[in-house]
Amino acid sequence: MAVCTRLGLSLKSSSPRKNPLEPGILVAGLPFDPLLAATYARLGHAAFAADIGGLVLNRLDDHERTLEERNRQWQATEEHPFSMALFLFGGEAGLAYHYATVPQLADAQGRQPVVFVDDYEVPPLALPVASDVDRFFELYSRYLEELVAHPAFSRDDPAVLAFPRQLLHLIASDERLVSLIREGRFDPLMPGAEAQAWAHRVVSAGDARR
Amino acid sequence: MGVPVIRSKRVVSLWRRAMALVMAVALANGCATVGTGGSGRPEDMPPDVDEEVLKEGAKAEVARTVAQVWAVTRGVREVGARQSFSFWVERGALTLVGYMASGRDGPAGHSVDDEALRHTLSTVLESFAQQHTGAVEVTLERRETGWNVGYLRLPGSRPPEAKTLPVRSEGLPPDAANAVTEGLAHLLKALPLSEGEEARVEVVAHLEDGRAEAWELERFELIRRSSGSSGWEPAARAADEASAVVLPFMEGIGERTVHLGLKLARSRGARWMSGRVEVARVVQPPPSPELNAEFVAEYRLMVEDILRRWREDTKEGAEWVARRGVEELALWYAFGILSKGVGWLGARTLPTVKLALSRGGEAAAGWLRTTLKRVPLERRLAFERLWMKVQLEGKRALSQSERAELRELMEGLEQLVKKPLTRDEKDLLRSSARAYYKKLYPELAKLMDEAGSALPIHHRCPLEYAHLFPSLDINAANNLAMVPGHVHKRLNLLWDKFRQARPHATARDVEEAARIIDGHFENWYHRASDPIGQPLRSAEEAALAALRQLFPELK
Repeated sequence: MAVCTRLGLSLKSSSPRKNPLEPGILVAGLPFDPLLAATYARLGHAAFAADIGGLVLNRLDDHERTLEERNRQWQATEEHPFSMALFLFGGEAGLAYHYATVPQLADAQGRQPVVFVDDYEVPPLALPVASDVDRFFELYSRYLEELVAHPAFSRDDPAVLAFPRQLLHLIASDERLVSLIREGRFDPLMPGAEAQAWAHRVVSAGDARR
Repeated sequence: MGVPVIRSKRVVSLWRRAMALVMAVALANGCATVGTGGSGRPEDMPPDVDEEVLKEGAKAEVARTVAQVWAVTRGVREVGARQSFSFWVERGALTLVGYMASGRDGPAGHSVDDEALRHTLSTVLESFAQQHTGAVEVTLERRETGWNVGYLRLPGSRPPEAKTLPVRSEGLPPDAANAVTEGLAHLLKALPLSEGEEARVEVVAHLEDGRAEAWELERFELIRRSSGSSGWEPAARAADEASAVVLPFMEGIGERTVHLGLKLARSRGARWMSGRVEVARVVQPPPSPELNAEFVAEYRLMVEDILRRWREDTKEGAEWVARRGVEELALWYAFGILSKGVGWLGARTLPTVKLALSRGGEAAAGWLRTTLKRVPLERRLAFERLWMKVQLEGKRALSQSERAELRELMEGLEQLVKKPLTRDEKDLLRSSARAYYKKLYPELAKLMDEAGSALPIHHRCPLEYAHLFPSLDINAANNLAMVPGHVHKRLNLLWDKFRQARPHATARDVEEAARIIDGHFENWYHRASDPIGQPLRSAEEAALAALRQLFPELK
């Protein structure tokens, strides 16, 4: 939120539920990530930088439970190939790109890594992008900074830097993510050649940083 | 009613005469009619132009015009000589559109008060000409001890080269003005005129915006022969008056030619050839069949704004263009490429680029924006820099290496659009599509910001087939539709089945598939929810059945 304000990008948010959901509680049958729980304890809905594209969190407040409904719809879809459940918490405004946590890969504190889901592909493509939700928000903030600083950036058409595929240098700095990928923890989500190629690039970039 | 006349020598009485003139013009019937002012509809003005800017510009226009007229007139001493300057006036902008001179054979008169003439000209231009929109004629008639200045409003509509906004500048840079004189002198010195001979010549100046691109001799007619000594004499003096006449024409816009009718003479015993301009008129090129009228009109508005900035401050003008780039000025670049072509670069024929740009308007501009999105930033900036140089400074401003670089870039574009999109390119074009769609449908933009990825943009002809339609903009408005997320999934599945059935689909195959899918799904396009009474499953099944009829191998 601070980055949006500093860069002069739009920021919309709304009040959270009166009784925020606890970490670990089941939402659409999946355990709620603790960092997501902390986020939704502060706001019920948010659209970050929607004036140039931006990240929109699925709504969860006292009036709507879009967060839960979207996940139930996603689970009901027969065609998605993943043998691991995904919990969709947001996406790109106006594009079939979602952001999801992976409950089965939670760490000891229950923190779940985040994947980017390209739903333009058949079957959808899942690419690991952050080791937890906080790292994801930090990544997205750095992306906005790089986007606005890009020499070709204009508010009329800000499409000069694609998230996440052109942010390898930032994603690879997440050492825990690189480890998880290297250990093959995300393999059930990445059956195809393209996803495997992405994983390889992240690991190589991570190794090069050492 | 005769032409209203003001005697420039009597400055004190000028204002009384000026008021009388205003009254005379207002009461006149039929001898001076108001110009039609172009199309009659209000024109768009750039956002930075306000009343203050118009006022400053109008003042600068008068100052410049007075200086230019004076430069033509100052050497005229023949009593009875008459010079007419025709202008188009709009919002204070003065564009010279014609010139005629006669009566230069009389005896020389006494010296006159130059300052008084300049003052009178300023008054006439400020108080009369600039108060309306239309064609006007200012006539100067040399008397024994002064000048008569006449003013007349004429009928007519705005010529294509006329400015609609005043420019705050002092005139052409000295090197540009010198280049005109040199160009003319070079052309005229080749004319064989012996002592005692006179000739009429017609010289054509090929102008583009504020540049003289070429000079041509169109006609040479000896009107007085002599057996005096022949040879070529320096033509600088002959060129002086001619270039003074040409210089104000260079304030116009676009490509045009100025035809100068000159009378040249080489007196006996004189070392120099003298020359007088008898007439100067602007001739527009015939409309190009590749450029539709609407494209030309849209381009004209844009080019005048850019030229105005460039003329007011070359450095700032170039920086303004560079800051905006192709994203905002795609139409300007597209028109420039199409109108100038690429043959002069030595480039191979680029049929796809030509076809794409000849569609004009947003089709051309959108194609260029989308295509350049696929080009690495450095090359995109080079493209912008080089085409900007061509458009503002002329083709000849490019060095050999710059020509080679631009040729390579253009040939590269021709090949690029025939290649399938990469993953990164698809990502960028989807983002671009979203930005564009939100501008097209601001009411849906709000829904998209609320719903996030639940209301995605769908490409009716998928991005993976963009290379099969290389001259079309895959991000054109008619190829984009926001749909509910669950509908997008079904559309994707249909296209996936098509992809598997036709791994080497032709453009025709894709067009047919898109037609079928659109036909069954268009009720979901540009909507956030399902239309009432229309089950999605039925639409999908019907689309599938229709696709199978055309593509039996579809599973």
